[in-house]
Amino acid sequence: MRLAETVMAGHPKTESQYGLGRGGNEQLTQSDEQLWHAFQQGEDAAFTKLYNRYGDRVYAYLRLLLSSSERAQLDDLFQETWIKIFQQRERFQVIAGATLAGWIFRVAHNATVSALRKSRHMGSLDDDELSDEMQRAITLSVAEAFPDDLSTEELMAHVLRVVEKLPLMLREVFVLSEIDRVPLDSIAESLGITRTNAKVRLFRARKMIRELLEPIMKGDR
Amino acid sequence: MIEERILDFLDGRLGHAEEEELLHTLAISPERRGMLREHMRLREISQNLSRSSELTVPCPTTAGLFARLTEQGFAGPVPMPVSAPTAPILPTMPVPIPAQSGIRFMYFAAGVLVAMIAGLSMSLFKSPTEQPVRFVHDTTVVRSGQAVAEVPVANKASDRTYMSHRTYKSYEPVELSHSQSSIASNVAAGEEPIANNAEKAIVNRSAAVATPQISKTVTAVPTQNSSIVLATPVAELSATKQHVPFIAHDDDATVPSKIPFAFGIRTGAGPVLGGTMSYVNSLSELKMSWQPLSWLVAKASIGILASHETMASELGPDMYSGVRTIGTQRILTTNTVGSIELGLNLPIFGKQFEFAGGLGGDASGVLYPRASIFTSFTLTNTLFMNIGVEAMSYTHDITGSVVQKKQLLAGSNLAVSDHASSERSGFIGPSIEFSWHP
Repeated sequence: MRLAETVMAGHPKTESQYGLGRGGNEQLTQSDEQLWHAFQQGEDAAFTKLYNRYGDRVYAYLRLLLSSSERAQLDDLFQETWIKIFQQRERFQVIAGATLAGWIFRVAHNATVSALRKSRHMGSLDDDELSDEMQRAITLSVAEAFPDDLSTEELMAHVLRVVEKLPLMLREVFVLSEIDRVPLDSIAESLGITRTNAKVRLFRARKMIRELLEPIMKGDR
Repeated sequence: MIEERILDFLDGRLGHAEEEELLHTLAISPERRGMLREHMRLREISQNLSRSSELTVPCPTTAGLFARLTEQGFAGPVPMPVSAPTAPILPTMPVPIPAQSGIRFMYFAAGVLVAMIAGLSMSLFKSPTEQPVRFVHDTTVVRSGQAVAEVPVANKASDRTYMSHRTYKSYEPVELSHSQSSIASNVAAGEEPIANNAEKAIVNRSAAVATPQISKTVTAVPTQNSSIVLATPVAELSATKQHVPFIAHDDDATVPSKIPFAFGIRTGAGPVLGGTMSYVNSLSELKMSWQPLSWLVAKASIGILASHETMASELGPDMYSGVRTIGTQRILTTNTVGSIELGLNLPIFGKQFEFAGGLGGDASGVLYPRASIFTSFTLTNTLFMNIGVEAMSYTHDITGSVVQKKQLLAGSNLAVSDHASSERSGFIGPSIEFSWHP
């Protein structure tokens, strides 16, 4: 799917449609697309504003996409993503129905997939199921690690651990939706899949996480 | 199927009829309500995760990125490092206040405190010798006690019973003090010792210790119906060694020059101003006093104010709509406050009272006007206990904490309940201070 080299349609989608988002301390007087347009006109400060808006979200997305053995690549991938975005100043335009957020995460997604394909020699990216054995192992580790009286911090640590164990295709949808608060349409746009497909993956991810955490979630109530 | 509809419901994607049907299903199924709760909890945790420091860009990564971008022609500003909040709103989180005078004042007060201590160590604050100073001399005091009896003389028949019981009309203890050791320099200066533990003091240093005497004898003529009773139990008390304080008023070379500084620990507490009695604020601080004149005292202090302040608070997500409401409630917060005060020592009803007023400041920029009235009690020659009443008042920002809470909960469906923009707080109540005069 190609978003670049098209004509900007003045899509006035604002940040508020994604919630304030992370790094949203600045005054949200300009939409993403207005900032990008300003950046294209040579205003580099607009790029910094976009970075403030999306830096942490992209970082979280990449961080949770990489397994612990791949995490050494995190900083490089993060920087590569933003350098690519910077280099697209002249070429990228937002068309009607598309969003800058969707494109930014698509750049991050492509950079990650490309890097992971090299390191994993393909294959495992398409696995979107947990084996029964792995599911049992995660559930057991969850139940044993925090049997009772979980604090929010402990629960957060555990959710993070379970998210990291999800198959990549489910994990990235979950991270984009639940942690980065990206709308479903933009997620579909980022990953080059249909909205229905994105919704199905999100449902499966949420269901899987809930089931994996069920032993402690019940105790947490 | 039901789980998918629960998630659609939480995402706000269900139509009115479907929502009604789902709510009915949930109402009759505890198991499904449990599922809803688990998903709501997961959403909450996921949103908190987004604020985890583990998932925010490290400063070196941002710096490295913008260095590389600069090489490629980037000419914009580099993002300032911002520490990511990792927990729900902190009670002590400073709220933005336009005026920074409180911060400056706190630093100023801390600076004065340091300057006073430094100046003290460099002996810059020695008092002139003509100032009244206290000093203590160890001396042995022989104490004698005698009872002085007024002897009733009965001259009526009805008084016989009275006399036979040897009851005294009054019984007045008198203590005599006499110094046996030499404190010639003080005597030469004409100083008088302060009498201790005596309702009446009879002092004559030059004379020998007086032999206890019956202080009053009554000459009476016995009659047929009366007799005279003389009963004056005399007790010689053992000699004791005491610290006898003196006040010197001259510039005698033997009078040591004294440093008019005191170090103290003060704590005061009282009900919140403008609040209910159920909330109590307190201020505990280290204090340094400088008394350049007998009637004037300057103080610098730093301490912890524990105060109940109205701040933003999340009231929890609505079970069905998922809307999280930000309200306000009183939360116990602690602030480090630096203060400077000036006080006047004035005698009232024969007792010295100190009337002080001053200003404090904290790191969030809040100013704290304060005032106190104290009187002092001597515990030992160098340790004093000051008791009085203290009051402090300040205004703190509520809107700032609401804004911060909204930022922390960004991404959620939020509702903000009505709240005041600021609040007057403080306290008035008893205070106690222990001070040490080196």
